[in-house]
Amino acid sequence: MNTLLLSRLRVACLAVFALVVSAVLAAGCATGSYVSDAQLERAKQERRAKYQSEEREKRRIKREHREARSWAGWIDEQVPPEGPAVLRRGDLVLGAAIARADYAGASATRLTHLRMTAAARNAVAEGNTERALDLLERAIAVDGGEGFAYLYLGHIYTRRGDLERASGFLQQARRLLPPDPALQDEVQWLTDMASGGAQAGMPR
Amino acid sequence: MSYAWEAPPPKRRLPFLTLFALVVPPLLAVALTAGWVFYGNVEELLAAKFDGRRWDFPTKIYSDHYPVYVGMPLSRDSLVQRLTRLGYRQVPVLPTARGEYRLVEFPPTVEIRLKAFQYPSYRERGRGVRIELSRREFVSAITDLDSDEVLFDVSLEPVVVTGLHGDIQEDRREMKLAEIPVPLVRAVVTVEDRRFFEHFGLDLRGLARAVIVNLRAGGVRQGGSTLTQQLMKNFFLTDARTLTRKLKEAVMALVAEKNFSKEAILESYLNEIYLGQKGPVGVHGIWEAAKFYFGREPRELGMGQIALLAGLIRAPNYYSPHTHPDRALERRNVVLRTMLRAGEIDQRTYKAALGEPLAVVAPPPSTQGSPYFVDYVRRELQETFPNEVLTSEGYSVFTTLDPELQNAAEQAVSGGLSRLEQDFPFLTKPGGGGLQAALIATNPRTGAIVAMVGGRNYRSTQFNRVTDAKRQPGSVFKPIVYLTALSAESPGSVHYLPTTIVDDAPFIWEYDKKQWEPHNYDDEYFGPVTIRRALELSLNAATASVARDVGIEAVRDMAVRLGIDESIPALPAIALGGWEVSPLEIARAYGVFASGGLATEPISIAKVVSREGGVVEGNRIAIRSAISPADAYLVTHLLEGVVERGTARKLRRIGFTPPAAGKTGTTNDYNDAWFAGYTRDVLAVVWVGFDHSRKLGLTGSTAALPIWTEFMKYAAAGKEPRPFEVPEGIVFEDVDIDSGMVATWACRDTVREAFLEGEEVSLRCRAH
Repeated sequence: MNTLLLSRLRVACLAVFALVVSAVLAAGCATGSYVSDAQLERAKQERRAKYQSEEREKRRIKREHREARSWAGWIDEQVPPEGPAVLRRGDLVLGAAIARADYAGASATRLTHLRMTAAARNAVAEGNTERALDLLERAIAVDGGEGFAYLYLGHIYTRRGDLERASGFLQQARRLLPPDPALQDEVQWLTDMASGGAQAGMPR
Repeated sequence: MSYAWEAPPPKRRLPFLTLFALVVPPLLAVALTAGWVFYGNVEELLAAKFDGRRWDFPTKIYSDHYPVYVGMPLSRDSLVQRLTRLGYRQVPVLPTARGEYRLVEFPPTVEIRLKAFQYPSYRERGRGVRIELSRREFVSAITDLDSDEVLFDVSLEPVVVTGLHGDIQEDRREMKLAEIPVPLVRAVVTVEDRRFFEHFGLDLRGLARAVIVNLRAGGVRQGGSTLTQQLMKNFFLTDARTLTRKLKEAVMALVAEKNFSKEAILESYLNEIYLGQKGPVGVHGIWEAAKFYFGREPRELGMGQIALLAGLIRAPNYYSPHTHPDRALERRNVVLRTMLRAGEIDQRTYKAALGEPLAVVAPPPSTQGSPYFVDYVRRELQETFPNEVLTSEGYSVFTTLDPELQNAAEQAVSGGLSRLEQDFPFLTKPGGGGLQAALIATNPRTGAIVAMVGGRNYRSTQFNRVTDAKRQPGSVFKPIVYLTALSAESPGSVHYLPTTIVDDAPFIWEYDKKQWEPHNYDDEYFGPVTIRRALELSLNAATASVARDVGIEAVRDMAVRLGIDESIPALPAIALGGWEVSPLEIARAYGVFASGGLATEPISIAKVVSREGGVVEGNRIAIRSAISPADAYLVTHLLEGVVERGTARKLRRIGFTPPAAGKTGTTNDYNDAWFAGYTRDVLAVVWVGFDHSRKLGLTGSTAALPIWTEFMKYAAAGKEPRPFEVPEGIVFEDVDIDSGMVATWACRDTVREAFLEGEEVSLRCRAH
């Protein structure tokens, strides 16, 4: 046979052989890594589900951590209120105290305490207890010499069922509030509730 | 035989075709396979990023908000300082945009357009207020700027103290595309990738133009990257200018465009993009950048500010309006011109925007403020939240810190220690770890920690001496002994009054088959003295004698009731402060005196709020009656004497004038110097010494008292100076200071003494 033809035939066979091998290799790898659209979508959904379940797990851990804390745990839970929502006598005396303080030129801190307490009382009436608590704490921080903020704090915590905290505030309220008999009765009633002994209705 | 030269046989070489056939197909196959695998990996990577959480949001720690109310002492400078710290901008006209204020000379008024802020329990919508200040520097009136409604108080929003970041320090707040103003989106797209909504991830026209420009310039002058490519680079790649990186970026951009919408890509881009540096923390995203440069939310930005933000993307630090306002202005104008040419804005808007000033606000202080306090808060948070949650969930932690008081505390400590080293050079000799101090300040009525300095230099040592250092309190403990003696239920053979005479003389106290002998400073003894004088002059022998009489167990129980750790033993030495406590415990104990008998827990965290606005955790005030208000007042009245006539009288000489009560403390070996004192509104405890056993050699009056005074001068400046409240059940009588009996006209040194009702002395003084 012609030598040139033989060599060309040899080259051609080699080329075909190399092509076939490469094609087989490529097909094998591609098959191994080929992923259809449906599979991709499924994989995406699995990843999303996994992420969501990780987030759920994280939230569960956070919840457990919160529940594990004792006195410092604070969640805006709904506690059925006990007793009436309004301290009638307290509101009246507070209003009178503000008017008197305004008229008589009382100290800025005292006036601010009284006004913040009144604003807190309004916040409670609007249903924003968190805001009311913030304002009452602010009132005490400004001037702790008035009893009204302590009274309303005691009231809120009694309604929330946090009786130990309520007792502390009511004790202080009793010391600092004006010696108005009806007001002191109201404080006593709340104190009795906070110590778990109140049976009678609210004093008029 | 033939000798003719014969040509060598031709070498056999593989023909080119054979080589080609052997090499190219396998290479092609490998390249195709690698490309296929890479594509798959990129798809997975992008899916994980876009479907999962794209960023970690640091927890932000806020200070307490700043209430301003009618009648409170406030100078204009102080208010302006606060506003500047919050990023408010002074304007010459009536402020119309949130974050602006104007100063009016007469009457002295500050008109402020408050920033909108989401407090835990309500939202400040950003109203305008007018705060009038009297010439005597207090707030005389507050009115609404728009309605003239009279207000009695207003709050300035809290300051961001720091953020709790993970490994990557980035500040960012995520915004939805719908929340980002359309002009801002248009500006960014116009400047960075005009054909963003048309291309498939790569902009071939832009690429070709960039190649031509760069070839002509002989270097890289223009990039042809699309927004998508930039996003891929920021998410996954580095800034390296290599071909490999560019190729990867291109492939990733193609894959991203195939799998995600243009809106999703654009939203991610606008939240990811780097726009400046705030100290060690990068400013990322449109929201943070708008706040950082302009103190406003993105929807409150003017056209000029929008153009500047869009222009910053190319080189935020080069064009930063904080450091290069001229470049920033030029860049803004370039962006405006580009937008005009592209038809995104009309001529009128263009001209109006050109005329706007840059209106940037000063960058917030770049130092990590209040590091000891932040550490303390972080420790508290870590009791509830794992570190991964704190550095990724984007909580807002509202604390009780007062940033101005914190600043004053840090300066008082640092300045005080430097002055001590100047006045007493032996303190600078090496050894003992260097002179240190700690300061804690609280609101005694609520227990809120308003300032905390745990050491001289946080960078040198993060050890918090306020909470973790246990040192002997020395004479600072003595008021607890006298409280035990004075309280209505005190045990012991004598019922003590402030005027009861005790013998200040050496004696031996026998207990548990042991002996203990208290000594006075310099071994100087005063003989018979009143309880008041014994405390004012800090007499050890007299105090120990009282402690022995009332019983050391009663003293120990009283200490625990006031908040000292219950590990304190009932040993005689505790009467003179011979047991180790932390400054925080002393603050807790003195807080009972300052609050009129109420024990409160120190609080540093008020609320933890999630990114969605829900309260995750909160600490509310809780009070407990530890002692009666009357007993607390008796001690306060005695401690006022320490300040007026006793070992702490130096604070009046230094210039502190408001009513105050306090006690110095020096340990027997002169290792520790203390001062614990309070006014009606602020309590502060200062400790000075060396960390490792080395003698300080100075008393509490010399070392700790000046630091306390320096701090309290600032703290008291913002409060009305009020005397301590006298509770029910207290009566007063003028008595002779030495005999303790009712003063007559012949007595020269008298004091107005306080007694429990019914216990006041009636015998007249016969000593003079």
